[in-house]
Amino acid sequence: MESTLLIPSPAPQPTRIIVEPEDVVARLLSLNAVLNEDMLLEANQRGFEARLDVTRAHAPTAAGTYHWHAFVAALRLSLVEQGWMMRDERNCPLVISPDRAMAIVVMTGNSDTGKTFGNPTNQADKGAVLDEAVQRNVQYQLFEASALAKLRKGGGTQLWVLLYHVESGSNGAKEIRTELSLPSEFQRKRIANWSERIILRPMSTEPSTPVVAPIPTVPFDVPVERKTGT
Amino acid sequence: MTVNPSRIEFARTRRRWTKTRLATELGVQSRAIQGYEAGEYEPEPERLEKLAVLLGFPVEFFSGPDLARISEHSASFRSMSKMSAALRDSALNAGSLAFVLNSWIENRFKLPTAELPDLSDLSPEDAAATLRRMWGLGQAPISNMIHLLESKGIRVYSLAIEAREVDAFSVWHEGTPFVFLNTFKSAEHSRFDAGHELGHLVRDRHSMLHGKAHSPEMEREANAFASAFLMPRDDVVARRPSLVTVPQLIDLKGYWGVSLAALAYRMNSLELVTEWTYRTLCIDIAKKGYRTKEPQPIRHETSQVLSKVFDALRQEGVRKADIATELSLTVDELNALTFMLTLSSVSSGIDGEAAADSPRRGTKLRLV
Repeated sequence: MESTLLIPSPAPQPTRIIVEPEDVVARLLSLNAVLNEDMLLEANQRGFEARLDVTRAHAPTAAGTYHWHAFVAALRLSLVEQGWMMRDERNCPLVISPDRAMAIVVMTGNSDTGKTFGNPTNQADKGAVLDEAVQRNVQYQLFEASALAKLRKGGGTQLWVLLYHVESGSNGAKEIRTELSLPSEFQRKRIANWSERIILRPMSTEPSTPVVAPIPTVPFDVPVERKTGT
Repeated sequence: MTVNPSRIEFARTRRRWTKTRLATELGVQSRAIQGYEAGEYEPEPERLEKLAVLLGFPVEFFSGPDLARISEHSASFRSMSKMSAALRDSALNAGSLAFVLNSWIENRFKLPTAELPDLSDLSPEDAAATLRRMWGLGQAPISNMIHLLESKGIRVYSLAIEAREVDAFSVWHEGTPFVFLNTFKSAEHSRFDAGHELGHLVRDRHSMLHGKAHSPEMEREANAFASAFLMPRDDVVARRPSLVTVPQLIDLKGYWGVSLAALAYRMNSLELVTEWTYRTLCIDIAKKGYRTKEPQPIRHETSQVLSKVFDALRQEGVRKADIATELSLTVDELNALTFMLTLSSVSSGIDGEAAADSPRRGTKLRLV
């Protein structure tokens, strides 16, 4: 059964969803030795920090764009330090693993991003680069994993999307959800289906413990006693 | 009136004046200053008066007995390496004047006596945790570092030196530990300085009492002690925000009463943030100018002992000018040593409400 070519089935493949923390760790590691959840989330955090620089004087879209720009730069810098390569495919910023097996692109997702159930997709319309990449992704899915490994040596690169969404809660705190997912269908400028979704843990901007009023310890009393007759 | 030559030299170095500068301003040869200070000859009365005005001391000051001098090695300075000898001597001389004021106060008031353990065999982290346990502080943030030190028998006086290099120093004098804090630093910075000096007093007692030079290692360890004492490990771990950003740390730093940079450093040393996050935080803190100007600053701490003493004296009708006259010092000199507390202050002893409403003290002080 080694290099069996599968016949494409007309029905969409079920999406493989990975959500348990230990599964996420293992799956990221199997994709590439340097991929880990903390690093991906930290790059996203850099984006979130950039978002905080926005004031009312900024354009209404500034927060979102600042986030994306800083996220992209942080992710690429971190991975390039570990041997990955940067490539800008028709203005689409990619970062590619040393063995060229995978490329990652950062995108904003809709509110279903990072949720086990639902239909996450890209928030903004995407064009030809993504369309072609998804086509390529689909091609490789037609093969058994073992055959795929051989094929990759020939230069097949899977495009993974690092999708994130910032949701505002009622108390002003925000939740940031992130997933690294492999798109399998592209329709009307949107990703319509995924063959695999690796859901990272959500980040909350709320402090883990509420901060108590400043300096709460009891006051120190220093006894000062007047001596008599001096 | 006999002039004490050592007091001329003392007054001059207190003001950081060179012999040449004093000679020029006084209209005499440099050699003459040398002569005054060596006791070869006395300045004429008119000349002494002019010298007293120039150096900001009452004429009577120059006929007093020798002052207790602090040797450079028995005092622990933060960032000693960056400091000039002139700056150091000026600060040490301020310390000597504080001894004079302190013994005047202790003749009239009973103050707590020092009860400091020797924790020199413990690491800075363990010494800080041990001292907290011995003093029953638990994991709680320290409400007021100066009051804490004073309640443990440490005398705390202020320096008003407008120089970045002078943070604080501590010294043992006749069995009593003294800490001097520069009021020109931010309140957060001063609290850290107080912790740093406390670290020296409990961990470096031996070398301080025996006049051994302070090594850079001792300074690093005193910083580590201050960091651990102000921000206890478990409490910091428990309060780590899920997202460590500058705005989150600004919210959190007031809880421990530390600077933004000190909190970021502590989080990094406890490995609560990745090196990458820490690097980003440092760049962000510097970029926003928070290293020089603390965001959301806390109120300056002042001495509880001195405000209680001054309150008691005020009720007896004793003015600060009276104390100054008795000690042959100027009121400005006393103010510089006593956190600018005034005898007319209405603040209560224990971190009074009145103090909360008053503007930050000490910031308008000119270099004396």
